[in-house]
Amino acid sequence: MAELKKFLIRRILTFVPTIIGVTLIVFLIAYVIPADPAKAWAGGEKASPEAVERIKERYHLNDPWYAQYIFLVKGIATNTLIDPRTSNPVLDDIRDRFPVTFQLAIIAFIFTLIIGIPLGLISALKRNSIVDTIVRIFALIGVSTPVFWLGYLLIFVFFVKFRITNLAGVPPTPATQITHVPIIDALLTGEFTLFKQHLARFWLPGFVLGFMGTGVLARFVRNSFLEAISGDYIEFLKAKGVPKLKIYRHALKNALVPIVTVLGLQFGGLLGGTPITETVFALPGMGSYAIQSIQNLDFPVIVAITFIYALIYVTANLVVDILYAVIDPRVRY
Amino acid sequence: MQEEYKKNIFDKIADKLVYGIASFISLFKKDWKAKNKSKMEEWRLMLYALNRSPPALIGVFLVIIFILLGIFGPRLATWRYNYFPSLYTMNFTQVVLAPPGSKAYLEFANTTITYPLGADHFGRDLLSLILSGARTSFVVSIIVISLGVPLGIVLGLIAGYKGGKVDELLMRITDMFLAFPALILAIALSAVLPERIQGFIESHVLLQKFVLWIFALDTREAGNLGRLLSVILAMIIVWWPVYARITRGSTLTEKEKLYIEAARAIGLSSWTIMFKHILPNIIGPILVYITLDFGSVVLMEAGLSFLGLGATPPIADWGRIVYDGAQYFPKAWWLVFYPGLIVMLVALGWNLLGDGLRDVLDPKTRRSIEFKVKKAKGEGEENA
Amino acid sequence: MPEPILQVRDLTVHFYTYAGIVKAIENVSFDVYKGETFALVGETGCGKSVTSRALTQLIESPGRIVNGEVIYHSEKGPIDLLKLSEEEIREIRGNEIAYIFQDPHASLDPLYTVGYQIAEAIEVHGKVKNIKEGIKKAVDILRAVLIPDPEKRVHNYPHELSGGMKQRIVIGTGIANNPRILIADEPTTALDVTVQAQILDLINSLKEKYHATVILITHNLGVVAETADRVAVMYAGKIVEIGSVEQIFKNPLHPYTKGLLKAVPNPMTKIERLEAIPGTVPNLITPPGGCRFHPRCPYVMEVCKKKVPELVEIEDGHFVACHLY
Ligand SMILES: Nc1ncnc2c1ncn2[C@@H]1O[C@H](COP(=O)(O)OP(=O)(O)OP(=O)(O)O)[C@@H](O)[C@H]1O
Ligand code: SF4
Ligand SMILES: [Mg+2]
Repeated sequence: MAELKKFLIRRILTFVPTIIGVTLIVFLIAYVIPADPAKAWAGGEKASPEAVERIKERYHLNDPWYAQYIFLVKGIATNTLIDPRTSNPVLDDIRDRFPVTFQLAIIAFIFTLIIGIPLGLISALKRNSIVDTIVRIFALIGVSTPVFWLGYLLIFVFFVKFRITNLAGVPPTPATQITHVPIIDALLTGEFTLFKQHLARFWLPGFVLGFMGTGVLARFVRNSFLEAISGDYIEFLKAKGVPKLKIYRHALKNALVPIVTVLGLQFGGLLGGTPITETVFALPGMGSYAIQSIQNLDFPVIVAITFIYALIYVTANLVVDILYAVIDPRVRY
Repeated sequence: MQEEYKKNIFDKIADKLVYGIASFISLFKKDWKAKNKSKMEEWRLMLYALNRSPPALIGVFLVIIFILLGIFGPRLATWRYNYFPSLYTMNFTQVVLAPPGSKAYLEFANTTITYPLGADHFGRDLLSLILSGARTSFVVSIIVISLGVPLGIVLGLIAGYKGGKVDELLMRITDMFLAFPALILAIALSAVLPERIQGFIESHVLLQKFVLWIFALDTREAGNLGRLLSVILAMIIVWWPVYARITRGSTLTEKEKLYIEAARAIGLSSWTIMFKHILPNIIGPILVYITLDFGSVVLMEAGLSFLGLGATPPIADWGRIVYDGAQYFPKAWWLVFYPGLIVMLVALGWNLLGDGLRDVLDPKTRRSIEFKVKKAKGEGEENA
Repeated sequence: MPEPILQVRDLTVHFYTYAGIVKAIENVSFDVYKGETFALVGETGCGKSVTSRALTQLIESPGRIVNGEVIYHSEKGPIDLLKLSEEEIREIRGNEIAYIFQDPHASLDPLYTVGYQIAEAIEVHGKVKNIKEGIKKAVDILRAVLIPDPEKRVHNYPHELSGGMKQRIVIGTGIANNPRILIADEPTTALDVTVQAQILDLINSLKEKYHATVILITHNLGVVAETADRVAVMYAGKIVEIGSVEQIFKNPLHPYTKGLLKAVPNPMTKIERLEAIPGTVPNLITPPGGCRFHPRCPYVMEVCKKKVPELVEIEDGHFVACHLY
């Protein structure tokens, strides 16, 4: 266990340079922003030169790059980066939208897991059968389907034709917040009607977003499981007289090692898909907020949201690495 | 008993293809064909193996259609992408969002226009737009792959082969880019880049002409190129790190092999070793990724333009058609359904092909396929 | 008269591969007596592992046991192991008949502690209530296989141990339930030469201590000479000669056995290929007709190509399958 602790400390320390790297790229994005938005923020063509100049000053657009970098990082870290359009601190605006995106990603992830893993196991146990082939084709279709297309298709089926989902607004957040993810909080605090409302609103977008990954995950689970079950130690387990189900448990745990890695990557894919999904399903999350900000040339928001997305993804990868170390004693060194 | 395989029509095409490529290379390198008999044989076997997999064949078929559409699409289109029927009639309702199968008479142009797949909100023919849009999708994917992938491969080779500080530096940079969900980084970059790229392209007239030409656009669209190109640049930036990672990994294992040590011992330059000896040996799996990624680029490009980034109207673009048409959904369902369907078919084509290639290149499945194919070949030889 | 504990008759295993049917072993018959060490020798690929695994139905698809019986004289009476259901044979595997495999690095699950893996072997046969109790027993077993500091070592993962230690763990797993038969499939091949002798000593002493019968599969004729009571020589999926160690080493009858002994002047070296006998092991998809050794045999006769030689008893307990006799 001592090794695990040491590993954790080491891994968390590498978190820091990664975050610095992320801010560097975010800064690069901010740095190529043309000077013109200053004019737009000051009120378009009619803006007085002084107003434009004031804005340039305020956002340090005329300073050398390192000053701009420090301004940006400080702005994000202390939440003093002000949105020129709403005049709110950017992170305040994002905070309202974050739970929607996070909840969407979580629900999508759950869909991916509960469909992908059993499907993968079935096709491993029945390898080279019809089921296996169907899963393979399903996986290929999954990665080939544009999220927006599937979204509209299912809206047509479930909303236009059958009205089994809700597409307007977002249900309120529960009174007591524990995790700040409304649907989980609703469940934890026992507000079941609210939970149901959230589920009704989010299940379809969650499914659409998760769909892409299910087939890929299934294929991956299948291959990892087959790889694990053909290991020599499996034969030794049989020779020990270990019953079949327990042998599968060994194989599954061994298969989990690569699967966990792929799950981390898939979570990144899910996050990337949120802007499209939110746009299709009119969900007021970070992704659709970013898109609106682009249309309004509201660059501080784009920069901040990009940073937040990277932060979530980097954290997810951290979790993956920790899980990895918990499952596999060999990586703790 | 084993199934017997006969040389089928695709195998014959494969023979011709390999022979053609070999002849082509021989034009530049005199005795290539004589020296590389076994390599040609291996290619042929691989193609034969691919021919034994119906999904891969469907993939090849879809990909060929996509390439043909990419090249000839704008010519096949009945109407140019910037022909607005609504300008030629007073009776807007017959052209704007005209449903599939309808016809409209344009009194000012004195022509009748038919809409096999329906019309958009300007009354443009959806089928023509989809055909013209194939060019956009095709060119974007070619540029992104042919710039992003080699960049990643070269950096990965250098990092893996040189090791030490160079490796450390390159991989830290790679990790920085990989810390972002790909689409998010692409969105951010496509959002901030257009203005600078527009300025750049306007000051390089020849380049501008070239870009207009490969996208089959009218000069009028010169002002919109910045946004289109920024999506391309954004995707290149997003794409290379993955290849740097993969290439570095395989370079590391390849580097340890005996023949590389031997090459180093006889004093070959690192450049020669990297590109002439290591690269050809690790390219197989990378090729599979490239094939799959052609599909991913098409998907991502469609996704970005669905978000309103990249191509702007009137430029024909599959994702953009959906973006503009979505506000009329579900009434004008065709504006969402058909462009999305074609994006899916194209991506599916590349994925089926890539999956088939992976099987052919995977030593595990390869042996069993080759065994069948050898039988087929043996017979073919006897017949010949 | 020695009492048999295992009687194998006409054991035949085929592998159904894409390239054809691999006839890995054909009509293999032999007896193993209670308390003895029975050695199975032969070149690589001749079917030693397949034979030993087929005894308890440990043959995986694409392989199948096509024919034969394996009569095991259990304490309750004789049973045919090949007729048992999956659950019945599972109860015997690792309990009454245990295995030690060749490669200790691959035999252990990397994700579990060695203590857990030994405890699991005891627990699945219902000898302890749970894993926790099993781990307590595992400490004693580690002590029995001479692992220093067993209380600490039970909590180690396989990658934290050396090859020799891992093989001791594997052996410990094998003897965890006091098996009546211990099948050791090349238990020392994957280990350093220095460790090999220790492991063999360990197996021998454990055999004495627990009164077990040992089936030892090996490449190493020196090991056979030193530890075995009786020997079966295999060639291309068939047994060609069986006898006591003296009979085989002093009076080899089969031309293959003779070649084998000649090829290995120093019996401590490993048999990879027989330099003294020209030719190679036949492929087992289309094995040679008649005597499978005839393409390489210096004494080959017309009859050898047509008729399969049967095992015949030449002297007391010394069997050979060759038309010369
Ligand atoms: N899973 C399998 N599929 C196909 N053929 C197999 C399989 N397992 C074993 N065989 C065949 O069975 C034959 C006997 O193999 P076996 O492993 O018993 O040899 P061995 O005598 O134990 O050799 P070694 O000394 O190398 O361990 C071999 O020729 C091999 O080709
Ligand atoms: S049977 Fe004939 S071929 Fe076979 S070993 Fe005896 S003499 Fe040689
Ligand atoms: Mg063996």
